[in-house]
Amino acid sequence: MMWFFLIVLASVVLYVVSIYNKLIRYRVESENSWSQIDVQLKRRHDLIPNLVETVKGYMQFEKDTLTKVMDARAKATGSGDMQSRMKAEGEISGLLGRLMAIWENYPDLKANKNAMQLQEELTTTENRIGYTRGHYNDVIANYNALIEQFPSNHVSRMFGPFQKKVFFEIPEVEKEVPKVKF
Amino acid sequence: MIHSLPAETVLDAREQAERTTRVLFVLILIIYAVFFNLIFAVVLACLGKHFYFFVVKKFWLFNTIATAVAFFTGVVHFLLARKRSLNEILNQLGAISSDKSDEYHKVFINIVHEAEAATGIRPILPVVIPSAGCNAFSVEDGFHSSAIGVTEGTLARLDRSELTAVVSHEAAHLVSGDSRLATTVSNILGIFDRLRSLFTKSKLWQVLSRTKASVFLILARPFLWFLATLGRFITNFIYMAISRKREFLADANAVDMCKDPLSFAEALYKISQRYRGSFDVPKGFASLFILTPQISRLDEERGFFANLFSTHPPVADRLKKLMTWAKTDVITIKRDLKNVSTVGIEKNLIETKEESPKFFAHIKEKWEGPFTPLQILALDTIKPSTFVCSVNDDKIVRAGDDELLLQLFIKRMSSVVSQNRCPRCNVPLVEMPYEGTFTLHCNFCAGDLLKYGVLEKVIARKDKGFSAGEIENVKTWRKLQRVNIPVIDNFPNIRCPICNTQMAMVFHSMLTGVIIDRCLNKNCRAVWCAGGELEKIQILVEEAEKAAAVK
Repeated sequence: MMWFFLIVLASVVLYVVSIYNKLIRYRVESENSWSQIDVQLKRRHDLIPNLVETVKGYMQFEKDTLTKVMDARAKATGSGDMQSRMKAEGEISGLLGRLMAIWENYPDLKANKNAMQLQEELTTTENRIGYTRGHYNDVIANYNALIEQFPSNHVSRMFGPFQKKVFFEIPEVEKEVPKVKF
Repeated sequence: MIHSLPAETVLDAREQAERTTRVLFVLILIIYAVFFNLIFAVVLACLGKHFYFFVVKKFWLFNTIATAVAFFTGVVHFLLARKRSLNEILNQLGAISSDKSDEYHKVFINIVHEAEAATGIRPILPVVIPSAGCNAFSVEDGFHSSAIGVTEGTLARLDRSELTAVVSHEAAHLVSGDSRLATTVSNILGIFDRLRSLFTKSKLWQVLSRTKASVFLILARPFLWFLATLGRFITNFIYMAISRKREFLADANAVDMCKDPLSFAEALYKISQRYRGSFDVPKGFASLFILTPQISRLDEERGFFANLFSTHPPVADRLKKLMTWAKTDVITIKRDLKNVSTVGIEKNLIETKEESPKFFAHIKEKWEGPFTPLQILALDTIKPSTFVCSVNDDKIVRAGDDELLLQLFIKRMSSVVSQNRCPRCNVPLVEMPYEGTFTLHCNFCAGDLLKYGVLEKVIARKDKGFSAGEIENVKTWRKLQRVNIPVIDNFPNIRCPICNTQMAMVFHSMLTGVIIDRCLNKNCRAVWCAGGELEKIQILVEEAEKAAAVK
């Protein structure tokens, strides 16, 4: 009988330890995923001045958009909290998306090798941001579910703090479809 | 491009494939354990009546010991097998690292980095097989180093979204651990192979036949060989089934990752229409290519025998699923593919060769030339202080004072002029962008030195257009090669400008009949094309492809 209880107790302890380790792993993975998004966002910030410098001579009618891109970039690099930073990054994504959409209207730009290389770099950066964002949200979803599910919710309360994390959501500005004029 | 999904969704397909694969893998392990037990039991029983009674009367104890031995043997074999590193596997496939200076490779590298971001697997090495065929693969060694590879033909023929879909498929294989699964299963097959060779080695049995105790063992030898063969056969059959399920799983994961089933369908369609490349595939790795490299009629068949021998499901079945998800059909895909554009590069028609201004140059107390600006770029005896005189006027100026020549000197300083010299003219070769990559060009004889892999890139890519006159000239030249004895170039065998090894004159292929010079050094393998030969090869290959497409 004694052995039976010892085995049951050992199983429970092992189970609790495995849940705790899983919570830690998810938390570390979510922090790592966020830092990966950060790396890609910084890469985009570094590309923007180069892009504006290259295209401003060609895109005479888009000076307003180009200025807004630089302003949004300054806002994003200067933001403190995550919410305002996400909003600023969303603005940049929306404005860059608009620029890429009207790129086709400037055939001289397409003949410029530097501009085409920059376009490729921006495309890949935007894609990487999208993928890392998706990966981050997947990790957060698993983490939040683990915190709320039974019996891991008890483990998280006992050995906390394990706080629920916020998803990287798309602000309204980015969702606006760029208007392409011909 | 996002489409709403029908009844069989990507998630359903993924879950089904995962479930089936788990069941099949457990089945493989059971088959392995059962056959190992059987072989062990027969061997022990043949060794004497004590062992026979042990097997029969203490069956469960014997079973536990035999399974433990099977497990131990498997683990040891696996640990020894996994020592093969990623570099060894890639060398066997003939894959080389991507070149950041190549425009096509740069896009591929970016897409692989995107796959790293999507999967969380870091780093994934992007590699390229210098083959004009179309295929892609992913591989992981026992030390968790991963690589995704494509052929030059794939890079040349797919656009960015199609290439993204293909890379997503390969990344999905890495996420699912298919390479490790392939290693584990080929490890089990390897154990059966060793047992088979053990039961057929005549020397061992000659020695055993001298001992009295093993008469029964010798008699049972054919049966033991049969057991090992049967075990291998059944394991291989189940692995083929797993492999085909894994392809569907990877397709579903890829669509989930890139959210673009239409591009994936187009990519798969394009690859399936093309020559898949003939390169040496290590045992057990054929399943990791997007389509089987060693194409056979059975690949597209359905039924028991086709399933027995094919690692990949029929392309038609895969396309059907993808087209359902993309809400399209083959006719629409064929129509849309007529307007294909390649990865990131605009097609440029051949520029009409403008007459560039020529100059006489005062070298070593005499006037020489006329030289074109590009020739002047190559001649290191002409410096900014050299006196030059344009053909168009009599004005003598220093070379550095001419605007055009000054730009060339600046280019020379930025090392566009290479250290290698033309094997015929002995002037420095100049790095020239061509078809998204670089050749080392001689501005005097118009010859090109191509480093290993560059010729396959140039053949696969079609950025450069040729005029109707040029195509006609080359076709006429080819006809004459067949009718008359080819004119042999009496220039002596040249030495490789890169490694100074002897180069051999070889036919590029029976199709083109162009004679090129190939470096005999296995670590170099550079190719020298005399003036016009590179364009001839391109024109003849493109015309042959057009003719095949019409049929």
